[in-house]
Amino acid sequence: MTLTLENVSRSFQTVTAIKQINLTIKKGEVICLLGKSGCGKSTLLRTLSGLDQEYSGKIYFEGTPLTGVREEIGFIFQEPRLLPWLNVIDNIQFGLKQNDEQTSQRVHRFIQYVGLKGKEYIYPKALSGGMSQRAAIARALVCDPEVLLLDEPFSALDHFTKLELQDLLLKIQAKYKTTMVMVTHDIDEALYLADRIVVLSSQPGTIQQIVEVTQPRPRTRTSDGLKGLKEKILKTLHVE
Amino acid sequence: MEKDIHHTLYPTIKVEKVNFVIMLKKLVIGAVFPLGILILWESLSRIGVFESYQLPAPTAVALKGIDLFQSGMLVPHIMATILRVFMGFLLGTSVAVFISILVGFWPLLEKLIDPTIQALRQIPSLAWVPLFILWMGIGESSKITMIAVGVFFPVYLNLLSGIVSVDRKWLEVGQIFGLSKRYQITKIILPAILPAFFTGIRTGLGLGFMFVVASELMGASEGLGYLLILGQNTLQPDTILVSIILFAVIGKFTDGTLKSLETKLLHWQDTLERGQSK
Ligand SMILES: Nc1ncnc2c1ncn2[C@@H]1O[C@H](COP(=O)(O)OP(=O)(O)OP(=O)(O)O)[C@@H](O)[C@H]1O
Ligand SMILES: [Mg+2]
Repeated sequence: MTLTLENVSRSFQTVTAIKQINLTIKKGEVICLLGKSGCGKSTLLRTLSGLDQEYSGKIYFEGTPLTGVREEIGFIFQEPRLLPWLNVIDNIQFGLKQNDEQTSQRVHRFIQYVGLKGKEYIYPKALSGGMSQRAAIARALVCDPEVLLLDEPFSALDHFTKLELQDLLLKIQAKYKTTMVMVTHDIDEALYLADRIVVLSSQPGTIQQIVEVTQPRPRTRTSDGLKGLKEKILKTLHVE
Repeated sequence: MEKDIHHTLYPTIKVEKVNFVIMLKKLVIGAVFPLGILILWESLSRIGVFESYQLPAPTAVALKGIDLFQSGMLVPHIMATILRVFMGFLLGTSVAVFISILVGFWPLLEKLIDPTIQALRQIPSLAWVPLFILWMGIGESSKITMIAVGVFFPVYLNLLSGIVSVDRKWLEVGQIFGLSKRYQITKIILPAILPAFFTGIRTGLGLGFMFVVASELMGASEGLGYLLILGQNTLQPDTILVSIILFAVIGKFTDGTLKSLETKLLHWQDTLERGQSK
């Protein structure tokens, strides 16, 4: 599904968080939003999700204006946001409307994907941070969204879990051709995952640079081509 | 990570065992002081330091209790008091739930009604007693109304603060998954306000007992409060003490029931030793 942003700006009382964002996101594309803390990445993602509608400018979803939250758009928050009164499996099937055998199989398949098998009936208070985030990822993925918005989904995780979940995302993306927009401040993560990296400048957040990563997947995390791009992005971020 | 897995595999067995030992220890330690007092009290009574018409010995109180029970008087008194508290509690809680939902979900109603309730709250509830008696006589309705007034405020205040402070983060989760209004309420809002509701009704029940005493002191022909007055008028401190002890037992029992219900329903809460401080 194509997402088009035209002159999208969002201001809060005193600050302009994002300003004049123009971007077209193609179906099946993986976009990473990169920028310093406070530059408006979360704000941009929230306007895309329909949760925040106080922006100016236009956002089109498949050519129709986006007027609110849509079922086709999934969102993974910066923190897991599991409901503490539901166990893992109930949290994961929280967004599902049907309740048949097929759905239940699907739920179990995704529990397996994210490595939470055997943890189905545990409550969030007894989960580690990594497990919680896995559950949150499964909860979003199981609804089969056409667009998945992710706000620093791995920033609170240890390095190994992070690498593992990045590969999981790529696997899902390859299988379902999900369009993904992911906020991160980890350049390596962006280089590993993205088709295009959108670098935002701070205060107000505007698009400073768009870097295409043409290297085919699977990528190696240490390849020379990516190194060159990394230097380019670092330079951009340092200049301001 | 390893510790975590271990913990999640054997949570119940371990926790229960530990809890049992801790509880037993607490029980024993907690019993030392009151037992000591009882023994001291009994001995001082026996050697005549306390006059029995002022402070009878614990054994005398126990005997009086048995006596009252065998005469068949005690159970009806207990039932009368419990019934009043129950009715008043039900009435007060229902009204509080109803109004706090209206006020909590419609900002206009909050502006309209809440300031008045906050002002009424400043009146010590016992001050209403004469008015209620004037309006409804000293029958059951004035007593139940009084208890209901006492129960109303803590339930209303706690529930309202629970409703208005439901975390926006969870509501957004509901929004993102396109939950209908009905599911927003049953799957997010209700569970989120349950802890506040329990705090409210437990405080409310405590006040209910306070108010049943007050209302029965004002005039009643049965009830534990009536026993208090009876003991006073007939110069029987043992009767008064029986009544006081029964209040303690019944209060502890009903609160214990609510507390175990709370622990059961709110087991998902991530707090240290729920309700320990209350
Ligand atoms: N609800 C709000 N009210 C007022 N100002 C806000 C609000 N949300 C964000 N802002 C401001 O908008 C700017 C961008 O915030 P945003 O959360 O989008 O940053 P971010 O790029 O996601 O940062 P981080 O990497 O730390 O998560 C900041 O200056 C922030 O103070
Ligand atoms: Mg952010």
